[in-house]
Amino acid sequence: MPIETATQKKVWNRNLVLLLMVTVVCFMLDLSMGSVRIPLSAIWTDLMGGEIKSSWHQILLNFRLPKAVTAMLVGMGLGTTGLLMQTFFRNPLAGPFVLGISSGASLGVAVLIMVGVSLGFTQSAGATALAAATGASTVMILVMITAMRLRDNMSLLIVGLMFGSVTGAIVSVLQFFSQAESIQSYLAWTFGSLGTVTWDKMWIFLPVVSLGLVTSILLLKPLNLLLLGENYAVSMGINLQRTRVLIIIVASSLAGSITAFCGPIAFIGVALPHLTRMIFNTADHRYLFPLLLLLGATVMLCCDIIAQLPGSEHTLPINAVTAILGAPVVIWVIVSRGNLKRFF
Amino acid sequence: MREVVLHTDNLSVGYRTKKETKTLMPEINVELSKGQLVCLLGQNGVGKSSLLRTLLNLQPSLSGGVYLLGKPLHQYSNLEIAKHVSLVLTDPIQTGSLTVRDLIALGRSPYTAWTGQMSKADWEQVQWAIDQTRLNYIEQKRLYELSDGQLQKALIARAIAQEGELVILDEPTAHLDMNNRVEIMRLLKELTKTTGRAILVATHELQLTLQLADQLWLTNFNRPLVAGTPEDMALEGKLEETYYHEGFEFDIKTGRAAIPVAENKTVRLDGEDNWYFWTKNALRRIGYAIDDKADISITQKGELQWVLNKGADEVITKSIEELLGYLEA
Repeated sequence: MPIETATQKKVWNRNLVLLLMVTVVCFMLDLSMGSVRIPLSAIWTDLMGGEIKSSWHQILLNFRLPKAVTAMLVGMGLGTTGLLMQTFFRNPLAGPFVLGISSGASLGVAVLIMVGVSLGFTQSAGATALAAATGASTVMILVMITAMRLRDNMSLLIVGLMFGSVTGAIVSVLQFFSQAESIQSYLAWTFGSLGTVTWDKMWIFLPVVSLGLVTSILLLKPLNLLLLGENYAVSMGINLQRTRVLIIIVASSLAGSITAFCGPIAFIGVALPHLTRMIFNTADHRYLFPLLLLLGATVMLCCDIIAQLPGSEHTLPINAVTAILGAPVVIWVIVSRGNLKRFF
Repeated sequence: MREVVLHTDNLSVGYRTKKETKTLMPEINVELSKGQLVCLLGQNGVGKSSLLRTLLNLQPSLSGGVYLLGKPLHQYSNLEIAKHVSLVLTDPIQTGSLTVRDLIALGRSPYTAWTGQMSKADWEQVQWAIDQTRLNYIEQKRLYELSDGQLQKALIARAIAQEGELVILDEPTAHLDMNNRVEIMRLLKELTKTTGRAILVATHELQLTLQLADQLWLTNFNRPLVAGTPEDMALEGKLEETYYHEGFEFDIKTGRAAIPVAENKTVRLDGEDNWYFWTKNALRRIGYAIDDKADISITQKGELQWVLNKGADEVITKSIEELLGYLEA
């Protein structure tokens, strides 16, 4: 919907405020839930600088708060990447993984765990992040070189998927020749985790993701034009090559950094843009983007709450939650709304 | 005094690969003026789309130049071209959720800032484009709900909203029904008058362009492009050259292709005009030529009755289908 009249503006503002409130509630609940349940009132007192039980304060400050912030950044980052990819490729199945960036990150981690460790490298969280980032950026550079040579996006999409297959195959080969322990520790990484970003890593994670999100704002108008396809976009004056490069850089750094720190978190990146479009029924990226950010943060916070299995000692891997609970939600939304095409 | 929007100077259109240079159209010297509807005609594969792409700076020319408002096209940035030239392409639109009004509003983007914020004047221009194309009744519909004809008009409205002096359309009537084809071509003609723009259409609508176009650009394989009014093109035999095809004759005046059939049998035919025309049409299809000395005769009896005399037999039929049945028996 174009936002033209005051009424439309009002509806959009109302949606934004409502969604913001939901996000805040989920944020508080996420801080509260876990193996130790901390009452909301205590969280409030703590956030306001009041005195609470010191163990609670420690848990909140050192575990729950960075994890909740990470959850929000992951939701916003992967949602944005998905949106960029879906519009750029005009393909509803596109997501953060289509350019092969995440596979690159996986390869980096696999090499570290299955080859590096035997050569004397340690498999710390920091080293894992570094290995994933190296893998992701290597593939990103390859994709960029290819993008410069290819004229159309469809070819780029296929090349990206090929990169993904190749890196996936190399990982399989590595697994084949590896010890059971290293395979298990690689698998543990692929489950995804929001808890690995501690404050000392947050100072890298937060700026990288934020920079990606802020840069996306520059892309909102070109993305709207790309809705009509590349030729129309060019005929309306966009610099296609510059836009392509910027989209690839933003998408790669978001997907790459998130995969590096939290593992390959599946599904959210493809689903979030569809959910946002369907709930708020708009194709205009300028209005879609803020809603997507809030919805992304909310959804990841909810996934994290569920992963804590409130009331139990156990936690689920975040990847299992996003897929097991998320996929049926998306299917339900699509079925209840009818044709996906109407919203894409 | 004609105001020239775009002209070419010995423009040569084609492709250049590492191995060879393939010229599709050599030495094109044409101009487009404000308020004119120019139709680009020619067979598939002759290079119409390549010519359009070259005129838009989307494809480099082999030699010669394109001038937009007197200035060489390559001196313009993409955004500057967008402010003078707008397009309607054959590319499918894959965004069903946009409303017609959204789509038309996108046409304003060369004029909006990086945020894409539309001013009141921008919305007025959108409304004007909607009024010009008479799309008011569907402006809130989403693109997936539109018929092909409506979508094409919405795309034309978007091009109009983009302002500028020139609109270029690539086969805007492809896969539309007859009524919509006429309506789109009429709309384009009307827009040249109401908006004062130059409109260049690559099309296969020969009959409509003969009625509506101010100028024709005729393209042929391995021959230079020729330009002129439809009537001059017809009288000089240029149209016939363009539409020459081995195996059948094409009647430019009626647009009718005379497809040869093996007429190895003869029949005598008597009746009034309309009846005679359609009966002959059907007979020709099944291989009967009309001959006054033929043994078989068909005569009209009443408005829709056919009397077939074949030797001693006489049959009266009430439809051509029935008649053909007897003839082929």
